[in-house]
Amino acid sequence: MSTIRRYPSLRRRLSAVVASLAMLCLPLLLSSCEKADVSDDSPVANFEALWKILDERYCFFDYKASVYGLDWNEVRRRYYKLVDDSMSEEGLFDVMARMLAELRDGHVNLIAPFNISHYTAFYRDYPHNFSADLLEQTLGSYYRYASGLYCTILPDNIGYLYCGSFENSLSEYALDEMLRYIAFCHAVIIDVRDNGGGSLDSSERLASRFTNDDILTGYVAHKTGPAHDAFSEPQEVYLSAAAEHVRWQKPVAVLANRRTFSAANDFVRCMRYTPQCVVVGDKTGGGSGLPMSQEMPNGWSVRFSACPTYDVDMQHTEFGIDPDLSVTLTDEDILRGVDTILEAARTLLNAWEEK
Amino acid sequence: MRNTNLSLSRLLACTLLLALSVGAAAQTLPLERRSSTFGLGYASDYDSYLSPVSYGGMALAFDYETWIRSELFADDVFEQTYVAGSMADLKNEAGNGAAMDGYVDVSYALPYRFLRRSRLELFAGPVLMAELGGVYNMRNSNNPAQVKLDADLGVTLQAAWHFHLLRNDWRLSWQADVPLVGFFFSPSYQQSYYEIFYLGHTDHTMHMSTPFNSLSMRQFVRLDLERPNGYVRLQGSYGINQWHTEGNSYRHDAFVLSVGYVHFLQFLSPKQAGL
Repeated sequence: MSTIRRYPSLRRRLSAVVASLAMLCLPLLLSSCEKADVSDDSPVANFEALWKILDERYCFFDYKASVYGLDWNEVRRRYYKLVDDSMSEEGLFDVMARMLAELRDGHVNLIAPFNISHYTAFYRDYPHNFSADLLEQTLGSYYRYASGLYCTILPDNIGYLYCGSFENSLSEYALDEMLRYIAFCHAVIIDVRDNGGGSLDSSERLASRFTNDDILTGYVAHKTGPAHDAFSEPQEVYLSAAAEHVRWQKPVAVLANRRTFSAANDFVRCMRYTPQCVVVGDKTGGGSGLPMSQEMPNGWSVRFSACPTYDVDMQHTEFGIDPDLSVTLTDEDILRGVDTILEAARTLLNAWEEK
Repeated sequence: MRNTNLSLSRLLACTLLLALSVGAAAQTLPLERRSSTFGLGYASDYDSYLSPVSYGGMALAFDYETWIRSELFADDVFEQTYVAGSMADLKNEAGNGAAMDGYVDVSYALPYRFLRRSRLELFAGPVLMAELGGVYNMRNSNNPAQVKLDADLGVTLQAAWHFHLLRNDWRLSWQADVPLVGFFFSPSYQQSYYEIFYLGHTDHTMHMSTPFNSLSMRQFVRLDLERPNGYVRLQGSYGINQWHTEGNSYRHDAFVLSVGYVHFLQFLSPKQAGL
């Protein structure tokens, strides 16, 4: 006995439609695939790819055009003449690195398997204003070290914290213990000279110990398209007080130099808005764009500033933040064994205490 | 001894609703079909947020599928649930960049059998599909990874052909799932994850998907060899998931060849089982 069921002709028509749809699906998909945006792997194609990545994604073109006349199209014309398909990898790298240096941005790196380019003029062309020997002298033999922070108490009862990097995550416990250790001091000095940055989470974690309220410290935006002026509406950035942790309630001096860069620059920006804080030393190195990475057809990658951050007045801090008290550490000062920037901060804080 | 064995079996039956494996034909008994397959394949990722270059490499995949005649609807409506996991080790074309991806896919479909001949069955119906996963690029700085999250309502089209060859019963089936409308997560053109997750600026991160900005599909071809207690399954699958929004493009596609086994289970009440 047959179990085949008889279906009306409507079902036959439906099956024909379904079969047709199924046959259509694959060609439709194949014709509309999202494809990689790369050309061939020649030196010229890689040069073009690098220029285009920056042209569409770098976030400071308009700002730097207004500051020093950066013209990215003109830069392309100038460096394109130096590229040809017969050049070596090293030669291509050199031309590309020089082109990227036109951006004057320490966050821009070209990364190849055999080399990484760096832009260092933002600190190399200025006095260092820091000495590792003087740091050792300041810390002496008895200091505390945890979570990347050095801590000691200076003879005039001022706490001293040296933070040389925000690369590693700062431990809340270590911060609690260090602030407890210097709790009886009348002021604290946070030294972020030579701090090349790292994690914004770490820099804001440290800054959050110096406010009792959530405070507006600036704005952040991001590019919304390839045009140089395509940006999102800037969003407010708040520094949150470190609830349920030890928070400092007395005067603070932050020491900075030209190598105070990126997340450390962000730390100085945040600290400027905390109560009882003064910034001493040199202008910071800047680096206010959040970096991202892309790559070229030959696999080399490029890191660049992608999202601009602003201070509370909607001003860029890409080229640094001026100190409240400008002090220079000369070679003679180093030879005398006197950290003039540290001493200026101590004088200021002691005068504050006497008042 | 006989009573002890009987009590033990009754206990198991009450706890597990007595799942009995039977080797009868699917179309004559209300059976649940459960399949598990493991496979190897090739996956390719292109994500303009991470890189303008495609990455490709070997993929490992596992999937689990259940299929049963629905009790909620007419006789010719079935319930199909599908869970799959995959991960891939990827390289760029130049061979000097590495990435990894991992995905979990879940779907629930109600295929309606609108044509049934002695050997051929055709199905079509709605399917709810969801995917969660991510791509991790080993050397990117503040944009090392992309989270993948999407959910869609779509259609499933299926066909099955039963035949006898080399003294064995075989079943050849094809399935295509096409998402039609839903949503997916994507940062804006150059929005950082620091903004999204640390600062909580989540505007413009969820997007509506339609075939115009997210033409995606997955297909399966399955060859089942009937054995006494189920099917041995050889499965080829190809899936492509892609979208384009706010200047970002993404495509993940993978071809996987899998082998596995299909069990047929029949659930009985204690009364039906004679307990």
